[in-house]
Amino acid sequence: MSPNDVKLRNLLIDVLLIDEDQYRDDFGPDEISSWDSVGMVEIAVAVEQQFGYMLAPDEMVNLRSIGDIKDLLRSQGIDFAE
Amino acid sequence: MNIAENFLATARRVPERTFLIGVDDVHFSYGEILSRARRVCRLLEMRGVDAGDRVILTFPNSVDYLCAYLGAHLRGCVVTLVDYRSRPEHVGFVRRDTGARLWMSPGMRPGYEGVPDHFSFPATLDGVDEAPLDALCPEGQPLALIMYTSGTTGTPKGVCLSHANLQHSIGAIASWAEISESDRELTTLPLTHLFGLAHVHIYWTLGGSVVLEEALRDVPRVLRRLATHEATSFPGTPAGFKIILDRFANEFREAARSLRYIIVNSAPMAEEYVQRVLDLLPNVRFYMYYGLTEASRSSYIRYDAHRDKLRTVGRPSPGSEIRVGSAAEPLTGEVGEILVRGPHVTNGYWQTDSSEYFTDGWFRTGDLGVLDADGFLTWTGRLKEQINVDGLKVAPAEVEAVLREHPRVRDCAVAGAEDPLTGQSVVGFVVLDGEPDARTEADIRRFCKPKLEFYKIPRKIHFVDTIPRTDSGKVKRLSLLSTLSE
Repeated sequence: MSPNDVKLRNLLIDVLLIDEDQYRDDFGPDEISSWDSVGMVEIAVAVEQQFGYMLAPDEMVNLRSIGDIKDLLRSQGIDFAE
Repeated sequence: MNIAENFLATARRVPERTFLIGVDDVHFSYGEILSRARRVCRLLEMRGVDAGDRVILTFPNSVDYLCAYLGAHLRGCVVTLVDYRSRPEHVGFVRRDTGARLWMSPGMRPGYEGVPDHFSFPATLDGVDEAPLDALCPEGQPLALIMYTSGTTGTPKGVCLSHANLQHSIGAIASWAEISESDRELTTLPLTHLFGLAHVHIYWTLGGSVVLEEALRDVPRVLRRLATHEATSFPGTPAGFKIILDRFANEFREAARSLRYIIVNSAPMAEEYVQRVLDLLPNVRFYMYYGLTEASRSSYIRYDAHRDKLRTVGRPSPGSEIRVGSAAEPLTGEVGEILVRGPHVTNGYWQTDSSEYFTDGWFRTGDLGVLDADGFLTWTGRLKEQINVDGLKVAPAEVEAVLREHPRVRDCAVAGAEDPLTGQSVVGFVVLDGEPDARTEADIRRFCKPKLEFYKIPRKIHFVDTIPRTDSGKVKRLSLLSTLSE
C-alpha cells in the first residue's frame, strides 16, 4: 500500500469510522452507512486538510466510491502507486 | 388553599411527631416548627411585610430555611427562592424584578452588600412572639411562588406558581408515588428548587418526616445517615446516583435496607444506570418524572413496573395532559414540541406577556419528545438547543446520553458549532477519566457509531476540565462554544 493510500485509509477510518476491511476501491455510500451527505462533507474537509485539494461541489456529488476519490486525487497529481 | 394550611392541619393532628431532622441530627416536631414559623410570620409583620408582598429566600438546606419558608407562607407572602450559590448579580436582578420587600439569608456574605433590604435570619428571631393563629394564611392571596428559571441565554423569567398549582402537585405526586405519613425522606437536593421542595410540601401535608442534608458531597456520610434514620425515600439526580453507583454501590445497598422508593428527576439517566438501580435494589419502587418549573411533574414512570420503557419518562401524571407537536393534531411516534395542560401548569411569567408560551390553552414546554402508541413520552431534548446539521436536526441530550455510556466519560455536553458547509456541526465536550491520548477522540467517536446516526456523532471532541452549568444545572453551551474561538 502506498503512503498516500495509507493516508486516505486512515482518513476514512477516522472520518467515516469505517473498519479496515471496508477500505476497498469499489466501496461507496451503498456499503458505508456513514457516507451520507454529511459524511461526504466530512470527506471533503478531511481531504482538503490531508491532501491540500479542495473538492468542488459537483466533484463531491460525483464521488460514488473510494476508487473515485483516488481517481480524483490522481488527476491532481497525487500518486497512489505502490 | 394556602399550602401552609396543610402544615397547620398536620401540626394540629400530630404536634409531637418529628417533621425535620436537621443536618446535625437534631429532631424537630411539627409543633416546634410551627412555633418558629409563627414567630417568623410575626417578624415579617414587624418589618412591614404584608400579605402579597414578595420575599426572597436564599438559604442552604437547613431547619432555619424551612421555618423562614413556612413563616413567609403563613404571612401570605409570595415567596421567591434563589439558590444559595447564586451570584450577587442574580440576587440583585431578582430583587429588582420582583420588587421584593426583603430578602432573607443566614447572614450577609461578601459581595452581596449591594443588594438592598437584606434580612439576616435567624439572628433576630429571639424574643419575638408567635403570630396569632387567626392571622395566619390570609385569604385572597392565590400566588405562592415566583421561581426564576436560569435560562442558558437571555434574561431569567419568573415562573408564577399558585397555591392551587402546588396543591394539585402535592396530591398528584403523593398518589402516584404512593407516599404515606409513615415515610421518612432523606434529601440532599437543594430545597430552593422545586424538585426537592415539592417533596417537603407532600411530607408536611401527610405528616411524614424529612432528614436534611446540605448536598450530596460526603457520600459515605449520606449513606450512613440513610441507614441510621431508616429513610424510606431518597430522591436524587441522575448525576448523584451515577456517583453512588460507580463508587459506593455495595455501601448503598447496605444503607438502603429501609428504602421503599427512589425518585429521579427528568435529566436523562443512562439506561445502564437505571438498570443498575433496578438490579441493586430489586424491592424498591423506582420512579422518574418529567416536568419543568412551569409544569412540574407532568409525567412519571415507575421503572420497576415498566422495564420495557426505561428510555421514557412515562405517562401523564393524574390531571396532566400531554400532546406532542400540535394540540389539535397530536403526533404519535414522531418528534415534536411537548405541550402540557393541567391544574399544575403556571399561568405565566411574572410581569411578562406570556402569550407566546401558550397555544390554545396548552403550555409550550420548549422541549422535544415522542409519544409512543402506549402513551409513554420520551424526552429528546430542548427545541432551542436543537442542532441543525445540513437540515438534519440533532438534540444534544440524545448525543450526550450516548457519550455518557462510554466508560471513560465522566461528564459531557454537546453543542452546535458554526460550520461553513453544513450550517452547524455537532461538537462534543468531554470531561475524561484520565488523560486523553492520540486515539481517545477517535475511540469515543467510534463508540458512538453503532448507537447514533452518523450526522449526530460529534465531528470533533474537545477534552475539558469541567462542563460549565447554570445554578440550576443547565449546561452553558454558549460558554463552551466560546472557548473554541479563544
